[in-house]
Amino acid sequence: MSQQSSEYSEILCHLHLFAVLPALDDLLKNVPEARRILGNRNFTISISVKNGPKAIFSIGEGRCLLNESRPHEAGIHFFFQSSNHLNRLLQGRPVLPGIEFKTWSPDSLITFLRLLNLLRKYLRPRELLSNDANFRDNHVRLLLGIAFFGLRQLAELEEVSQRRMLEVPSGLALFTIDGGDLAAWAQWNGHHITAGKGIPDTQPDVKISFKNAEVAYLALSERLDPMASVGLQQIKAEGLLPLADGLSFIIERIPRYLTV
Amino acid sequence: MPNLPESMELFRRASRVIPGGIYGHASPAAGLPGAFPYYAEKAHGCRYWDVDGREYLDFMCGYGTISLGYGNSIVEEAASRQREKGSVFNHPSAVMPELAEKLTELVDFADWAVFGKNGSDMTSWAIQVAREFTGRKKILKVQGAYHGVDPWCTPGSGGIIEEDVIHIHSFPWNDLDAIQTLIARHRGEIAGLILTPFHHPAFGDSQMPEIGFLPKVQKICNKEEILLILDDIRAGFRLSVGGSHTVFDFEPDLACYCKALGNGYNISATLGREHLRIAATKVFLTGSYWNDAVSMAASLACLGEIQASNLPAHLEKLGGLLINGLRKAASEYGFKMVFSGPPAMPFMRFQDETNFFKLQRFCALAADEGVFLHPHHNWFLSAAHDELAITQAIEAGRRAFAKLSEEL
Repeated sequence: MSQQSSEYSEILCHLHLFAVLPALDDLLKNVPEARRILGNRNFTISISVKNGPKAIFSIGEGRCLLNESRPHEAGIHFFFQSSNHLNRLLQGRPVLPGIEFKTWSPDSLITFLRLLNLLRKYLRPRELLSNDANFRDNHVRLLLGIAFFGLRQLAELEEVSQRRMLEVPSGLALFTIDGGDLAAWAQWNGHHITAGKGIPDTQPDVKISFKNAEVAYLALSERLDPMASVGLQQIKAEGLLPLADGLSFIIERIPRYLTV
Repeated sequence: MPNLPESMELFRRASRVIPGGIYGHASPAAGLPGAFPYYAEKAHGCRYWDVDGREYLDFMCGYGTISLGYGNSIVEEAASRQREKGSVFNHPSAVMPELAEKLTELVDFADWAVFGKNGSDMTSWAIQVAREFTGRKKILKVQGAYHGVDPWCTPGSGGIIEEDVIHIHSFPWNDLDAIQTLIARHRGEIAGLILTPFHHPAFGDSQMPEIGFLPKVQKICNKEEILLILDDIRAGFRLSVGGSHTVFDFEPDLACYCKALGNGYNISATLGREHLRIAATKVFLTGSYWNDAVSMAASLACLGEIQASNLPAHLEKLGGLLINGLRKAASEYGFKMVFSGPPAMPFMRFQDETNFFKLQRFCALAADEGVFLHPHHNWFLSAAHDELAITQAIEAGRRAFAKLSEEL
């Protein structure tokens, strides 16, 4: 798909809004610098794209929660003229959204932009050249979250992903990283995908585990030979493998949009 | 986990110089990595040995290519005789028309035969013949059916573009209404309908045709002037010496064969009716090794032996013994097993699961006990399997069920 096409732009916009921005939650939970930036502030950011998607983020108490707002909360509204407009901001280009303050709060605006900057820093692969294991772990954590929340967007919006999922059996997939606390799940019911972080309450139908964070990073960013990795047992797969294959197909398409 | 150092070392080397290490259906990713061997060393009869020296009683038979048994003497003698004279020349050898005569004699509806090396070669060629003959573009196939690796039908997704599949439409197995709906939607545009004699998807129960399904499909195709293509690559000559269509009381226009045809020598064939001969000549068909005389000589001998030994009856009998024995062994440990497909090519799973965890563990344990059973694919038997082999397999299965029961 051409990067110029409106379908591409719309899908990327949904990925930014519903997969990338929610990664701020993991950033706040795991990166002390993010919590220092946030401090004691509490605010709501609502984002809307003209004739397009909307989302509300409630930021405070060390969390960033999607589609939640506190009642009577004043906040900041970012409005974008098009999907491209939002995409350019999230890609770090020098654009500004339309901004409406429900209550005048430039401090909240600056805080949000600083968090966004920090998120981009953690998603930038060249930073991985450092031997900072913490940085690498947080990078993988963010990627995993983006991959799983991005799954739903592509399955709902991208024709080739929709077609692929028609052949995929229903079930619950669990992806984990050995020796760590990183886990994400995705449930496909034949029509929709839901996804989340952590270990689900019900037994999964397929379990994929990565040997370590580095293998997970390489796999999620399509820098790993997946078949060879399974043979070498760097990636373990058990259970309903066609479900994992189908979900992996979509996850592997995310880098076509998000060049993290 | 078994100790497979040679397999793992070879695979590490392979991973450096071969994408995937091992690709396709033999990839460790498609089986049980670390539990199944990755490389074979040698084989004989119904057994093979991996590169770590471990022996397996084999119920995959080279994914169905071994119909008579590894190293069958009749096939090997024929191949050797031909090999002394040569294999690939600038021209085909006499064995080519001899093999075509043999096949058209065996398979009742067929008037001519062509040859290739793999099943994919033949299914892709067959749909082209359908398009050439009818002047139409669309092909109907069963959802989840495997017909090879070419873009129109590959189960993979890499490198596939919309144009590769835009004229390929799927319907559920056994669903005549769905076929009729597709035909109504695309009346006059459908060149061919391709299906297997029974549905044998990976990771799922095999499904036999409902009574009358295949004859009705034939009738619909005849009425709509759609060519009916039988993909008999997996089942061919295992269910019936004359081709699987004779078991289910219908006749295709084209039928594709491979696997059992050569007992391990690589050869495939498409057989067709007289009125398709001219169209067949117009679809370009060739390959560097396709006139290989050794494979053809082996195939001729293989078919003769399949016929003489009544292979289908043997496979049905032994398959039945295997199914009954494993079912009983499982029940001794409280497991209920479901078997589907014909006894010659059964698919097994645990009744209370659809996600394969238990079955994968059982097959890993069985491999440790020296029996190779695949958790995701139907099994195969050969003429080399006998009642002793079946008894051994059942005993090994019993030990595997016992260990599984302890683990759960």
